[in-house]
Amino acid sequence: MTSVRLENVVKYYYPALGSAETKPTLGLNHVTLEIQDGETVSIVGPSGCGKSTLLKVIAGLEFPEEGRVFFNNMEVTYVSPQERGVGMVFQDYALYPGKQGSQNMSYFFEVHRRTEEEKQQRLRETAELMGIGFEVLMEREVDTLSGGEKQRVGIARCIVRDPTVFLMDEPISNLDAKLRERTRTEIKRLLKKFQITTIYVTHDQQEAIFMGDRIAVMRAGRIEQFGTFDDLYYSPANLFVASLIGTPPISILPAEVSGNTLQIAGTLSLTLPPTLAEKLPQGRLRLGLRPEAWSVQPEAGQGLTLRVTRIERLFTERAAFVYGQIAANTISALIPLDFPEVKQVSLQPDLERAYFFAAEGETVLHTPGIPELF
Amino acid sequence: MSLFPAVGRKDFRLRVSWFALQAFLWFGVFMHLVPFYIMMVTSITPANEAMSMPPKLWPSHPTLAAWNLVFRISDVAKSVLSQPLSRYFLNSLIMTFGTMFLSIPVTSLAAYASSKLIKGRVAKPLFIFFVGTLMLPGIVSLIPSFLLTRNFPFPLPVAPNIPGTDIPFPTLRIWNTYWAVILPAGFSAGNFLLFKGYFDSIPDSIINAARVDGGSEFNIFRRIILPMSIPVYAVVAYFEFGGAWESYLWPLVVIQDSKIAPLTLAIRRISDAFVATGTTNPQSALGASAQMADLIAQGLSWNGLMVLGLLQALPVFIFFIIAREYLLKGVKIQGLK
Amino acid sequence: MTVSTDSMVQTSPAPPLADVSPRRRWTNWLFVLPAILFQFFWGWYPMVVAIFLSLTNAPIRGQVTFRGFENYLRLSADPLVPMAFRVTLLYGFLSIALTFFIPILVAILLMEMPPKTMRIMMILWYLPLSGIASTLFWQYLYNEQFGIFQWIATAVLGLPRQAFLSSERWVLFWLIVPGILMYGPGLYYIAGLQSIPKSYYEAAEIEGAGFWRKIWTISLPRLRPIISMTLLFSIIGTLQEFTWIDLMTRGGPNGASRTVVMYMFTLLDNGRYGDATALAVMLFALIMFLVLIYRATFKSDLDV
Repeated sequence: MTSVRLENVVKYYYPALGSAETKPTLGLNHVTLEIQDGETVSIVGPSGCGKSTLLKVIAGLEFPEEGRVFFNNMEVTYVSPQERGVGMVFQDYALYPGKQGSQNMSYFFEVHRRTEEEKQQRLRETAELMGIGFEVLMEREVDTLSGGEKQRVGIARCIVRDPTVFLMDEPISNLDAKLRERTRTEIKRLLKKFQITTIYVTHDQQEAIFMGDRIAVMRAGRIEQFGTFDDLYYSPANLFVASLIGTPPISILPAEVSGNTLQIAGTLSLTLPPTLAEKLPQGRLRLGLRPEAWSVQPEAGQGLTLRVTRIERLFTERAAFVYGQIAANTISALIPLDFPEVKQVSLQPDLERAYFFAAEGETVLHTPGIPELF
Repeated sequence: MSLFPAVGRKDFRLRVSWFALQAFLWFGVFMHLVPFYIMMVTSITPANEAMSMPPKLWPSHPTLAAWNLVFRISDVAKSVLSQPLSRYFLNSLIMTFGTMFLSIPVTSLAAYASSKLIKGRVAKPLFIFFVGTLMLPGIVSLIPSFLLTRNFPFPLPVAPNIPGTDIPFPTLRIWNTYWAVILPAGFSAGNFLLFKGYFDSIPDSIINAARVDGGSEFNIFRRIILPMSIPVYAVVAYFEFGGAWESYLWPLVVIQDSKIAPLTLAIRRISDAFVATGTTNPQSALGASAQMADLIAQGLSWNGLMVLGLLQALPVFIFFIIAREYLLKGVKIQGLK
Repeated sequence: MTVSTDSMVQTSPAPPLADVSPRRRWTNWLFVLPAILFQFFWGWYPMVVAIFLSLTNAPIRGQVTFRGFENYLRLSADPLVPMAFRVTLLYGFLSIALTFFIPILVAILLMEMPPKTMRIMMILWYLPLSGIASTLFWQYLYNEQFGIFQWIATAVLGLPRQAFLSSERWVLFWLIVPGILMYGPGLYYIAGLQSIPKSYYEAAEIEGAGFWRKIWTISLPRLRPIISMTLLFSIIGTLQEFTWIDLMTRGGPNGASRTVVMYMFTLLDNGRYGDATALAVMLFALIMFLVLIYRATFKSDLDV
């Protein structure tokens, strides 16, 4: 049972040998993060945002230039990974070549000079946990395994040592799509079973949402927002987070407030409800709407005209994702659709669920907050 | 088959070109193999036949006389070779293996550290420190290194005194010992590059996984990296063996005592005795003592030199045969860069 | 649930090289320590010391006397020195001109062979033939009385008796001939060529490119950095060649094949250590000068 905390962690990257740059760049920019014991935290962000580096700092594979790392309130900033008792799964599996799966798993015990019985017992227990057929996998040389099999061994290697914290660095990114689905479900099952503090790094926001109790969104070395899915979805800290989370992504339209009227994309004008009218500044801004915040208007005149480019039916419901353009802005909307072959749809936004952003930049002016259902 | 057009193979001109290309390549292979053959044949040719013109493909009376005589040169002609041939051969082996056992660990560990362990601002200057000498003409350090072997670490005839006292600095004298040949080869910049290139290609994640598992960096190197690196070690061992076995100028400078002289120096001496100005004439071997003429009378001339050539060439040849699979693997894996 | 009865443990502030704990950093340097010592004492130190030594008499016993540029002046006045430089440059130039480019061509042509044949050829070609052993072999061939070359010259071609290695005019040429005749594919070139996708050649063929044109426009440009580096190292190496020439001709006849390094060895043999060092420094300067010119003209190709 381990909680993890980072305080003000700063890390620099040094240019590689033979590159033209000479100055170090900032990899982690004063990162502070607190992870409770037993929870799974996903860290998501575009490539280069520093999420892998952050994971390595938590692991003890890299030490920060500034800042501190705590496990259970004990400072471990410069403690080696083995002393922190972490277990780690890597994107490229990182199995020791030329050795069997079981040898990969027992390396830990050999290095720490544990007893043979303990090693055998843990190997057996882990094999059971990993499911049917894993013993066979263990005996094979890892170079002969497929990607999915390698990753299973990688995961087994992580759990065989009973770690205090699970660290996962894009573990399923190298697998093909179908395998990815299966493997992430398996990982989730394992995590639920163990209740061990887990930090899961990925660039795929759907994966992050699936795996994590809470999600940290990173960009350029900083954590943009950290919270549950609902926090990020309904109360994003800025436009970046709003655009990152949610599939299909949020639709952004230019708009203008004059008095208590909101004019959207130069066409549709709506009256603002009083709470919004008070809160929003006058002048230009941007309106953000999630796909579910649109409703279809029967007549063309009373809504925004969406020129449809693509329709994606949801087979579980009588609805579809409709993609297109409203006055040259890319829009995605979720609407009930009985007659899919439409070229245009007239849509009306639900201002109760609308987001407002500044005209330039990423500042959030208003978010709808978590909707009260029922 | 990238350069030759895919179609039109039956064309006469094309067939001629294809034939010419094959002939060209096979001739090159032939030229490379012919010396082995000629050396072997000549070594079992009686002396007078070896010196006859036109050259023969196979001796009329093959004989092992030359082999016998070469190994007994020191018995018969002490002024030419004071030690039995086996002694020189042994010295070469000692120097070669000594160099290998020193240089390969030293160089590969440094390359590994430079590749995986040492990061930050020091990494680049360190790399240049190790590799910079490759671009500089090494001949300039010949004499200073020679002087160093006499009073290491001072290239001076006498060590200076420790400042403020009358006591000279303690120095090390390795001149005219095996160490004079082995120690200076302790680090090889060229091999460093080969090792580093290979280690660079090992994904960091494997090493990180090992670090998470635990153990010292050296343990990780020993248990994980080393078993993975056999190809590059095989290639380097081969080059190092070949290079050390052939070393000529440096032993010539630092070895004076015949008892520890390598085979290459023995070849020089014998070659001196036979080939003064590029000719070998049974009558006018330069500086020939009666002993030398006696040897020649007994049937030793070029066939004997060929025996020496074979002795010099054989060990590296054998090494190649034994290690050829590893070598091919090693070359393919890294593309040598 | 978290049990946080431990008080916060304070540790000392981060060391500047913050990537590794202090103890591990120290042990990491153990990996490189021996190499640093060797490379310093036998690599850089002698090179730097050479310059200072060349201004002295560099003795092995007795007094060290400072001579200033006396060694250099004496060498400049010595007629054997410019001769040695002439020989060295001529040998270097001839050697590179005649033997450098063949391995490139051979490598390119070798790639045309089917894989099995190529593999056999590679193994046979790379069977190691000791350079020293081959000096004995080639001296046998060049022998004026009964060497194969003499036989070809007189009996087959009907020429008068040739002097080969004892010809002052031609000795350098004959020294280089083995390098021409015993050609093989350059290993680095093969590696480089293997990385060129076949589709490049196919595309060129569709454009109508012929054999030599394909080589010129596809193979060679890809090999350019490798060729460039190899050429540089060849120049540096050939100008310092010793073993081959020493064994073949011992610098004769009459110094016609006595390179700078060989003369340097002669000086060493005669105890003129100071002069030998100065001569080495002169050669060093010459080679570095050539290297700098080379790098200036081929700036784009080098990665170091």
